[in-house]
Amino acid sequence: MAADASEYVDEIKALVCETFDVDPDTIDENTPFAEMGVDSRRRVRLLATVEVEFGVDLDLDELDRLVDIRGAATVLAEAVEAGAKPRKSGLPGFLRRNRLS
Amino acid sequence: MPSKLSAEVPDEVLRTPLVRRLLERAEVERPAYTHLDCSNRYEPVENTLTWAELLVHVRAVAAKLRELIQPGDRVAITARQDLSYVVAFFGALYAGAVAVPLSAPDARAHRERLVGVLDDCDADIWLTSEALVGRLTEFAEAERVPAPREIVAVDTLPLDPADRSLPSPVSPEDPAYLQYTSGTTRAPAGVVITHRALSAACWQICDAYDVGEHTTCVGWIPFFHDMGLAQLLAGTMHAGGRTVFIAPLEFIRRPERWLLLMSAYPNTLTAAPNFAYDLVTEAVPEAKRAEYDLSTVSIALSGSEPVRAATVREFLAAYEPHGFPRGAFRPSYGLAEATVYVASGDSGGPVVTEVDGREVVEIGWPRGQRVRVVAPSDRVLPAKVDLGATGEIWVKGPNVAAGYWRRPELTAEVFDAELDGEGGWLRTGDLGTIRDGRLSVTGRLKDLIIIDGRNHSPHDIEETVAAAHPVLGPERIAAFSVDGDEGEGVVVVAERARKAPDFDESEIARAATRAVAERHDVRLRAFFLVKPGGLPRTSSGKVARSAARTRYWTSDGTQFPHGS
Repeated sequence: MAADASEYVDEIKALVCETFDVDPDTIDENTPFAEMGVDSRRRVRLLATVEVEFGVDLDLDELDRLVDIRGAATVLAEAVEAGAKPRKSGLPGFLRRNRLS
Repeated sequence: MPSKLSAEVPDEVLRTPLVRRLLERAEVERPAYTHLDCSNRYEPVENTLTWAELLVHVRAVAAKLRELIQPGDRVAITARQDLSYVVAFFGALYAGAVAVPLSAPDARAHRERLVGVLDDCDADIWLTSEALVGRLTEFAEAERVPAPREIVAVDTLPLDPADRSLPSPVSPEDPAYLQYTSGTTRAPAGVVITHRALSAACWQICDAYDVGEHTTCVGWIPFFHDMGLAQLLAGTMHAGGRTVFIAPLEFIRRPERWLLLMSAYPNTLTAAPNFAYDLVTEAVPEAKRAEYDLSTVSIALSGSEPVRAATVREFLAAYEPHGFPRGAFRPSYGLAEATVYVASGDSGGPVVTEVDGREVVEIGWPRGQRVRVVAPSDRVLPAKVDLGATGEIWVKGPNVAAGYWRRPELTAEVFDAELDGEGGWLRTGDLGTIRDGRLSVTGRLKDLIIIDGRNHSPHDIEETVAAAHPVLGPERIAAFSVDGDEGEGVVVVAERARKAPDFDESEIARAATRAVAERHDVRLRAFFLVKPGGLPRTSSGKVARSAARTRYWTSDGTQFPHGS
């Protein structure tokens, strides 16, 4: 990925410490969230906070990559870079009414 | 006294398999199930099936399954929470299969569970959507699961509006589906829900919460969970109303979407575990709350985990000003072994009472079944109940499941207790008390840990911790649930090895915390490393979990001095 995650690491770290209620001195960008006892519910809350703070749209499928600060910063950097592109279109709407008519 | 006599489930209901209800609605063009797709966060998109359309889709799934299976064969539902799940589940029932409602193999913690369950029920047909076939194929190859004979994408099946096939004939005593929420990861226990139990549970829910054609069931709780399956899938099938749902994580991502669901449709009924009422109170600021008018809510039931007084108070304080009717809040109690529902409150609103000096939110009255509280020592004596005494909650009724799948000994122990010379009582493992006919749940006899409405076996967590660090090991760990302001949590106490070289206690704690988060998707509330011999044991030498809790955890959440 060409996206540069480094510029987001500090901001993500601040959000992580706030969201997960941890002391910034005890973690670095590679500390696994799991080591802080973070479950998927709390990772989704982080994802939502990042979306709001940076005005981006993150796919819930990215959750598996939100494993540490570096990972979260990378997901964010990619989303910012993709921001100008149109969102994927088309819905998983196979069951919509028109199919039957 | 008993101000409310529990009516019996009518025979006609018990004899009628749930999916037969579809036939009455073959021409009905009202919306039946709607998936509110939130993947575009700016404008959720409604995907809807009418009753008439649903029947056509269900018949397509059944037609496919009839080519592949014999009645009674297990069919796994491994779809995401969208319309394909709805179609797959009812299609399996229509074909006379035994459905096994599961999840897609998305999260790592889910995968392991999924492997254990697929192995236990040997479902060799998996129903899913086209988008997930690749992921499931990869999953089947990578994991030690019995290879599926076929992975069927239900959204690719040809539709035949001329298909007039009927549901495969079943007996009320035949299994309709297996509900996997009990047991351990390695030895999961699938609760066998018969057609009769399913119909009975639907009737009880509809009776208790006044569910009918006028009702819109809304929510996000997972379909593979007993409460999600009953509230969002089965209840609506029984009553003929409508369901509108979103994926579970979409609620966690934006809790206000739950408010949107509750307020955007008429006569809404929703259900969630206690934690969700906390989340929607904490995470939604007042300015956002004001965007929703919750006077549309008929029922908001809280179940699947203990209902906390503080949660109820804070939720009502936050949302009564926005129209939420206090009487809609229904503390509820149930368990998968009783299909789902046992008892709930009425329109008088939640009642906080005190039992043994502790605040407890009263549950309320059972419907269509009998509930007794049995003091352990009284079991051989005629049961003196309803005297305000605390004991184990026992249940008997048509909604009680047939047992655990292929586990005759466990089934006999849990499902066939005897009371007053009468067998067939279900031992819930929960503790409670009955006052004036109203049930309160006060604690738990079984060593189960419930976090955010999900059940965890302490044995699984102990096994994970034992393998997390060389200083730890099997038979030297106790995992147990504790109560606190944040709700239920899990605490682990571990004895270090006798011949432990230099060790770093915080490193061990981090390793244990990490392993539990990764494998069980759970946060440890506390981890204590203690000296060899520090854990209490039973006379046979097994670690005694509740004695460990007493030794290392006080009820106000502070730890006793332990020292390693």
